[in-house]
Amino acid sequence: MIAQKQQNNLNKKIQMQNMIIIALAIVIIVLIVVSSTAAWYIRTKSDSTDLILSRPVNIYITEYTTGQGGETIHTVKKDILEDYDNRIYPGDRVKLNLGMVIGSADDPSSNAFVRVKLQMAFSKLGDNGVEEPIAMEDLRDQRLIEYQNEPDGEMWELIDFNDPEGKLEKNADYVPDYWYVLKTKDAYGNDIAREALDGQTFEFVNGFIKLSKTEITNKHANCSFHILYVVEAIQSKNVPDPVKYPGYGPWYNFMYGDVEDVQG
Amino acid sequence: MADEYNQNNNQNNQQRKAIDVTKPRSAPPPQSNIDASRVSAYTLREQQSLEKLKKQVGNLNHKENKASLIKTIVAIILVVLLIILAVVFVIIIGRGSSVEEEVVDMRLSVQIENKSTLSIITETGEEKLREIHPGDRVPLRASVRNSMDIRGDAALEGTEPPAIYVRFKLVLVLGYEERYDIMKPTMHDVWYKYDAETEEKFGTNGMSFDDHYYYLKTALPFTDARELFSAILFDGNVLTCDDGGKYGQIQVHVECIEADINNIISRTFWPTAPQGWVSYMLSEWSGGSVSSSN
Repeated sequence: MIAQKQQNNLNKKIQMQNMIIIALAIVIIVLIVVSSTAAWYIRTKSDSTDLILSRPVNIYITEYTTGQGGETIHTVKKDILEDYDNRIYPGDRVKLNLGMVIGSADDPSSNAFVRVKLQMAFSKLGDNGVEEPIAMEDLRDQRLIEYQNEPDGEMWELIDFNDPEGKLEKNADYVPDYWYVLKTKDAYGNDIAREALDGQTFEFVNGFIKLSKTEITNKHANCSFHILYVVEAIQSKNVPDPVKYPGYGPWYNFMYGDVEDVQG
Repeated sequence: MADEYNQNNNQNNQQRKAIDVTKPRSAPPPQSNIDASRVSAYTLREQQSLEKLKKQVGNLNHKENKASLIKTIVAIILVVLLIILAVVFVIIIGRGSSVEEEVVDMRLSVQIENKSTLSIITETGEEKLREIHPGDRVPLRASVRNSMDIRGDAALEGTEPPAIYVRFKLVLVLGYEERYDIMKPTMHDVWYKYDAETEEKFGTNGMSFDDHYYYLKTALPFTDARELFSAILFDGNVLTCDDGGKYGQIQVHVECIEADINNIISRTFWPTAPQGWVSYMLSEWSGGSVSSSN
């Protein structure tokens, strides 16, 4: 038994020694081969420099209230109307105080152009009363919102991003893409998109909205309605002014081109 | 009575201390009083075979020890050889050339210019990196030269260093990730880049793929320079908010091989080079037009 054990130990030792010798031999052969092959005929040089990318754009939805001193207090919300029963019916009036804030203390933002839209979405109720999920694409052609209190016209420009210059024929198949764009006046009194800066807050709607009775059809029967509030921010640097240059830039899907086309 | 017990006990302790443990103790006398004649012949045979086995194992150990010693010596020789090779490598790399390179004397240098466009001087006089926005076009310029010095080497007497084929790669290292899709260099039409549609015309050779290299469409003679790019566009359609605020490093890697058409046709070098470039170079070579323009 002891002899067997000794024999096993010896075998293990021999195997280990063999492996070490083979490994060393392979390393040496590879080194010799590499050093003697054409790999040596490639010369490589490199140079480098550092950079930093600008901060991203960050925008947050707010609901705002008026404080005792008359100041506006914005509260960042993830779910607007969370304090309401947000299932609404034709004729219902909904009070909204919706706004937005650019950036936050933790995530500051680059300067940005801002556009906003309110949509009324709906989802079918199944036989058992369970709602079917809403696909975002299904919401694009919904014009069910009527503003009883329109957004401030001095501050917001309503633009159809599918037809910025109003040239297209509005047949039954036409689907508009309306957004309110944050704007201001330039030195000559012309409308231009306003550059929203980090930390700034803006009010969008302060008043009532309701379902458009004219847009309600039979296809909306037995549906549950939802309010969809969408805010978008895009860096203002290298992006054409969406109010001054309609049709240019990413928000118009580069219909007429990009910033260099505007400048050209 | 107690005193007598203690005395005995002390004596015993003294006796124990007197035992020399370094010396083997004599074997105790057999406790059995069995007569030796009663030990069977079978037991004797067993004892003999055991002795024989012990001898065999002893011989085997001896042989194995000898073999082990030889192997150890061989291993030591190999390790010494490895160390010598490593030292030679270090010396060669430290000198920046190899024996073969010295024979071929290929020369290459690269430089990124206008690096200052990526930084700004603050009001306090401090230099800091300028933020790059999506869509920014930065006038960074880079060039390559067939010489050891980017400003050019002095003219040589005797054998001139050979012309070279050049390729380069532009990479943005962003948060430990290599990104090739963000930067779009502005360059002249002297560089060939892999294009899947174009490659289809030349048939798949199973080796070419988009290795992110730009291949120079001519050979570069000694002391000639070539612009790699004159500006870099940071593609706003590719950069996302997730990339925003990150530090990055623009790297330009340039490689060259001796301008021998066989080097690229055989694919000994640059096996992933686009077949379109190889075909183009071959047609240029067949036409005998090796450009040497600056």
